[in-house]
Amino acid sequence: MEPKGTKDNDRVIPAGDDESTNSSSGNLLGKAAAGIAVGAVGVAGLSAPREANAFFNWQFWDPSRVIMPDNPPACSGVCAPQATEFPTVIDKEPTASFTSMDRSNFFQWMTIASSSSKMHSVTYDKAIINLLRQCKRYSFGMPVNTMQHCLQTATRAARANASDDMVLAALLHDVGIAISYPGHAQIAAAIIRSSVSDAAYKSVLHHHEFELAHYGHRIGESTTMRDAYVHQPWYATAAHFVDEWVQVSYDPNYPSYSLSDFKPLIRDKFRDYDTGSMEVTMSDCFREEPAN
Amino acid sequence: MSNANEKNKDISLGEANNTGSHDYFAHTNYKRKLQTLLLEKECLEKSQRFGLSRRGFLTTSFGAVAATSIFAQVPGFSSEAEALDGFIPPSEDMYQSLASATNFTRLDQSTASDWAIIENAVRAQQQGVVHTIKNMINACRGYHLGFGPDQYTHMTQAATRAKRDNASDEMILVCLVHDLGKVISNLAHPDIIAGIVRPYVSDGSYYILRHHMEYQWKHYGHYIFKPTNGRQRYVGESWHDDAVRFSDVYDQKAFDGNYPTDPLEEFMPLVEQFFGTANPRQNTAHQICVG
Repeated sequence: MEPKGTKDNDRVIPAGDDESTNSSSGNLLGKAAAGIAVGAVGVAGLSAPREANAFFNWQFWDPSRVIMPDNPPACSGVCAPQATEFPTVIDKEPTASFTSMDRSNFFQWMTIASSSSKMHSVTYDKAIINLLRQCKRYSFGMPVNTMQHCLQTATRAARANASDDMVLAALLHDVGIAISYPGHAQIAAAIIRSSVSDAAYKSVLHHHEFELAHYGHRIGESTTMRDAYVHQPWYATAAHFVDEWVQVSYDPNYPSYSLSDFKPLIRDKFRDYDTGSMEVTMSDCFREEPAN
Repeated sequence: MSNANEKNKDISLGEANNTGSHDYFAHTNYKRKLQTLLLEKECLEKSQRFGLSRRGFLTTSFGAVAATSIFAQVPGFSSEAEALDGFIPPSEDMYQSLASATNFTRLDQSTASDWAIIENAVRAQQQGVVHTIKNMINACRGYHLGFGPDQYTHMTQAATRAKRDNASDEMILVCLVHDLGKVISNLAHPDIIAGIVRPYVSDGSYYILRHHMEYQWKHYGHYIFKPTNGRQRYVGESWHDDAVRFSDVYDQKAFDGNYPTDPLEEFMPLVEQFFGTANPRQNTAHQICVG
């Protein structure tokens, strides 16, 4: 069955499909299965208009899905932007109808909660994997691009028997570069915060300051910025993270694991949809309880 | 200062020539003047090419301290615009790949010239950040997460409401991007967008974005088992009043499918103004409370 309207079907990923590679996989069986699933989606998508969702739950026949951007080619030097950098989400979940939040009701928020958690199950790993892929476009004149640097750092951590949290931190510590180089450490830290330990979070958040010990004197910056954290309980972890894994991972000849080797870890760490984590990531700087 | 000396080797007329007493270059004043001219020429060319201010180029090439001293010494560098470190628009070949590449496998073996290459590349990529932000906003089209209008409409509507309320440029930008993190993770979106804008906006806007869910929960927290009084703990902060206005007047009302919302194109000059800057703030992680 050849799907209509979804020609580039290895970029269209229905909910629940476990294969999220962009045709880089040599797994023919997986590809064939994905093709059949997409075919079913294409036909069902034609016969089930969006309006029906308000009354019936067509999720099984007409699920939300994700169209991944092209796997970008690796780039040396400075690269032009590419047309699409983030997944296009086909969101077929039910929606609430209020026009302002202070005039909403309980049932509308139940709809939002259910749709949001459903969309999380569709997108949670693809968003992260896509960010890592986009990092291939950034090398800033260095012999390894940012994705290779991330994979190499994570491989060194894994070979040193680091915890899953630290391997994930190593894998994603520079992933913010796919959005903006200035501030990239904080972007990456925000992404992993609710999935890892506090020490791993702080290691990523402050990795740039710790790095400067190795080259700050070359660029007119201080080399002692890490000293501000010397009394923090995570200082040794962060120093080890940067000194042993991050700062040595610019070797183009190092045998790194591939991105697909780390996908189970990414899925494992980001799968949970726990809205309690929203309270963890906030309110930590202003510790007084609200006075009401 | 060692950076400046190392770099000056490249653009001077070679090592000191001690072979003859009639050597022009032995004349210190002449040599310094010529070096200054060459420096200014290179500075002009490269700053145009990479879209930097001339001072920005000096900073990336020689470090902040040396740049300040060079900048102060050379009369041609101290025009009014340059003193403000004004932004020079990038030229056509900005995205052309750099001829040179670094040559280290560990950061502790990197050299000053490696970092000149890297930092020039980072600068040249800055206009790409504008493109990426635009790309993220567009990725919100059709992404509802259970809300009636999609996230794109919600964010542009919030920005439109702020604009029609004569809010500041920065507030309009905050409204335009406040839910962008949902492209990556719905749960962590306040933290993600706060991290993204951190080098480009004031501390107040950073905190507004970082804590905007607590302000929003006043309107619906009781339906989803979240505290409705979370915003109380920020009373007295300099950005609290702005956050209240952001939440009550712009954000929570921006779900009206019939509201005449301006398209993204209306706001692109603003995105370029903030994210295309030649001088984003660096090394800010230690300057702020992040838990």
